[in-house]
Amino acid sequence: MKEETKNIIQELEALSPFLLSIRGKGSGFVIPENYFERLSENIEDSLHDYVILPSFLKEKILEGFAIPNHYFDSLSSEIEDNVYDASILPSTLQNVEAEGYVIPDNYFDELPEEIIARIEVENALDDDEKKEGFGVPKGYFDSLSDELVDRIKEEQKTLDESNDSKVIELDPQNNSKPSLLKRLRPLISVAAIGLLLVLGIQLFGGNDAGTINLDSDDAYAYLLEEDLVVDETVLENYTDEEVEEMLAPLTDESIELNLDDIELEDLDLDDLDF
Amino acid sequence: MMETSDEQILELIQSQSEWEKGFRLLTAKYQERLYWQIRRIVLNHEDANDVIQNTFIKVYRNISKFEAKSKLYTWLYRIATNEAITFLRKKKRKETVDIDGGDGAEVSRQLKADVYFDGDEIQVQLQAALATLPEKQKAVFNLRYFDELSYAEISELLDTSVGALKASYHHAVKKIEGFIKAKQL
Repeated sequence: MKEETKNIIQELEALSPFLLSIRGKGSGFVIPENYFERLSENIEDSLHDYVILPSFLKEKILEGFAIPNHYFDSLSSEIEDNVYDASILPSTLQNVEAEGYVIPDNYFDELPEEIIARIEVENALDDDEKKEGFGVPKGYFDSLSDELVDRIKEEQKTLDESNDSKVIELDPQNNSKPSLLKRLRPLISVAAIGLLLVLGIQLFGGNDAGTINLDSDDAYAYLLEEDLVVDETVLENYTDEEVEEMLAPLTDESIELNLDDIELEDLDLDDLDF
Repeated sequence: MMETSDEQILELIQSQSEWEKGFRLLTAKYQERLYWQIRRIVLNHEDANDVIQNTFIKVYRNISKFEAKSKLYTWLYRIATNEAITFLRKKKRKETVDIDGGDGAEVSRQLKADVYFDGDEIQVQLQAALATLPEKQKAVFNLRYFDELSYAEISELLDTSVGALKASYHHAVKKIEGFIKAKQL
């Protein structure tokens, strides 16, 4: 036994018999079989790769960047295998392929047609349209307002024909008789109520019943109705209670209750036909 | 076969024509000792393999700076220790896992999962206890307890007085014993 080993044992007997007792177990670390036989070769390979590197890469290696053994030995052949056969390409593109860029199949066969189609589209648009990216037919906005008015007139005519004889009482101040709107509320949708409100604007505006003079305000009201939005100014013509009633969701119970209030013989079936 | 002296190795490495022969002799003479020094720091075999290769590349790169004021192994040991500690610090930054300091739990976990560790529970606890020690104290314990170096040899390696080393070793022994016994309760 080495002299120093005896010293260490005596030291541990005094300091810690426990650690002395487990010292024979060793550290517990093991290594792969024949590791040290191969380690010399591995170190030489690493060193060989390191020696042939440019100096700026040597620094990187020592910073902890490692490369596989014999990396540079096979690198040139790997590059050659990956070089695309550029001889079939136009000369202007050969360099591009060699850089690693790829293109879809038949790309150049279809490209001229795509370019021509795009030119035709751009020629159909004027300069402003091209700038925005959104195109519209020429003269579109010139005729738009006329078209809108015509459409509104047509739709109002259709409504009037179907409601030719009915009287729509929308005067919120008249409490002598329950309004038709109140009586029919459970049977119609909120969108239909909006339409009536629009008609009500015309009546309150002093127009003759059944006659509709449409101007920009009318068109606006019509658009509101189309969007199922009730203009707040219309609601001013009704009491809060009536507005709440109009906008309240219909329930089976409310329908039943309201039906009790309606005498069936008083109900004009034509009134239900909108 | 007579072991080649450090002087002969250095002479061969520094020659243009025979540097490979000299370097091969250097690795053969010191790779195993250096490996275990590194292994006890990094714990993991794969990491130790990486560090030892980096160590020898660094040795080759700086061999001309070795002035023979200390023994060759002392110089090699310091390079190896430095590389191992640097490696651990980089690994710690990447993995946000502290494998030294703390309560040694991470070391226990890693060793139990390591195919290149076949120690029993006591040996796991011993390594976990070592992981809680300051770096220098851990080095002193390893060099004395496992490598059986004298305090004089350790003094040369760590550039620390023998008295300081004895105190450090005694403290380390007491801490490790206390740690293992606490775990066994």
